[in-house]
Amino acid sequence: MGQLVLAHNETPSSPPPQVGQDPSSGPGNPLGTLTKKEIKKMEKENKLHSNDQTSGEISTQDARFYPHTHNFLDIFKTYDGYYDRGELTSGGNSSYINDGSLEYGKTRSYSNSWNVDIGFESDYVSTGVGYSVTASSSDYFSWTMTVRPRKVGHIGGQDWYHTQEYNVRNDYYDNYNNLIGSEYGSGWAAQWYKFHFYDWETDCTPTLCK
Amino acid sequence: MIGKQIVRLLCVSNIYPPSFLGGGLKEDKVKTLNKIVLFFLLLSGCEIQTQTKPTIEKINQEYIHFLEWNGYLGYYENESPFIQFLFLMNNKLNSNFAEHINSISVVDNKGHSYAVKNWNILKGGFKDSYSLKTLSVRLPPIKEGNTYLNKISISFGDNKPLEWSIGNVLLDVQQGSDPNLLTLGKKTSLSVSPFIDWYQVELTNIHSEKINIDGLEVKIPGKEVDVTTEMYTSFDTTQIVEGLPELDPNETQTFRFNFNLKENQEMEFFIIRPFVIYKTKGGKVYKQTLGLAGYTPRLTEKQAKDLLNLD
Repeated sequence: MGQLVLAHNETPSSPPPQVGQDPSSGPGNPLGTLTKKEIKKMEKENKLHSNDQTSGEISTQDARFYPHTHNFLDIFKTYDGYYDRGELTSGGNSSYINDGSLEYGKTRSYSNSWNVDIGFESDYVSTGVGYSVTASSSDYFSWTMTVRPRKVGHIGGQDWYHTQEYNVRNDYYDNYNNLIGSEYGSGWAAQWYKFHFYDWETDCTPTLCK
Repeated sequence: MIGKQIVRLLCVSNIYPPSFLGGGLKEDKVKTLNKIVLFFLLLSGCEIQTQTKPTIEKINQEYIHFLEWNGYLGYYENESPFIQFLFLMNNKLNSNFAEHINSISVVDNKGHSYAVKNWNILKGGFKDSYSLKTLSVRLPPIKEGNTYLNKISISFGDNKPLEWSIGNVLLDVQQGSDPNLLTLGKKTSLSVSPFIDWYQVELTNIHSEKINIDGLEVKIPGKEVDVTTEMYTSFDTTQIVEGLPELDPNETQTFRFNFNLKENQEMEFFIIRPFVIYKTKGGKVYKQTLGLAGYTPRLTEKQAKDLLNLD
């Protein structure tokens, strides 16, 4: 098998979730989990991609236009991490005596995500990691925080993900179905599984509390 | 300004529909009576509001389903417990049903009822046939001891109160008051996930002596909970601190209390307000309440519809 060096510029456009520490991730229904049947079906559909460029001389740089297959190789790292969404809302309690309440209620979208540093397709990543890497959903979340007198309440959030880092390979063929080279890459996929709201108080300031 | 508000309040009047006045008057006579009332009210300078307040329909109990908490709420005897309930509502129920709520009380396993001091309903998520809402209630201070809250009772208009199960929430009211040797920074308030996994809080030692964190007191009814403690340099939990979980005076660290429940937790809802247990140099043990936190799985549309008996 020849090693074909391809020019590509598909560097990861976004970083994977920050490495957090979530030791008890386990059962449940994280977003987009595929059944064995769905994985088999997707694997079956993994066939040779015909070349998109049918005439003219193809340079080495354009090798991606040759017939090719995408191959998910292995997962070399797993961890649970998150994106911190920062402060979602805040409000001051002007009262000197009574507790106040800060309400948060909003529809939040969340989605699985993925990235790879060579040209690749999401379905092959999905079969490799066991969930649809393009799945998304949204839910309405609402909660109330108690804010002590003369304090400002803040509510923040984190989206947590089961994250995998993996290796992939593209195999390229000529029109006679001979393997002419392979391209190796790596990437990450993240499966949303939890939203973590957190709150905190700060002291009142003249602008935040009347 | 105050005077005007009072006048306005006193003068608000309904223009009565004929049915309200009973069968003794004929419709044209009622119209005449309304005109006379309207004339005198205008003369008196009052604002007239024609209220078409929705009728208090009989609330179908099946239209509301409270998600049942497994709960542990730690309080001191002088505190007013604050609880939040998530409930599903069939959209056949008029969205302004809350306007008809006269009173709410929470009932314990011995049938004792605790009248809610004040309450609020958050709007919540809306689907085609149902909505998910949050009801927050503030109870009066409750005497020391363990109280198991099992039901919520709501009276609508003049109708007989309706009761719904709210699960099993242990209200653990302890003698004394918060020692407040620690201040709280960022802390978990709601976790939308299929399991109760951890509670995280930033703590600062404002005492003059070193404080050793011993763990959490959280006694969820019917559950065996092991709690382990980890300490991090900040709330982002990227850097763990090895060694004993302790705080020097003026030191701040983040503590992650990991819950290890023995049983399967699929589709269970948890609400906690734990005590953090700590010791000072002399070995004296303190308990301080932390913030309220809910743990709820993400409900699929099918699960929500099943709970409301919707097709």
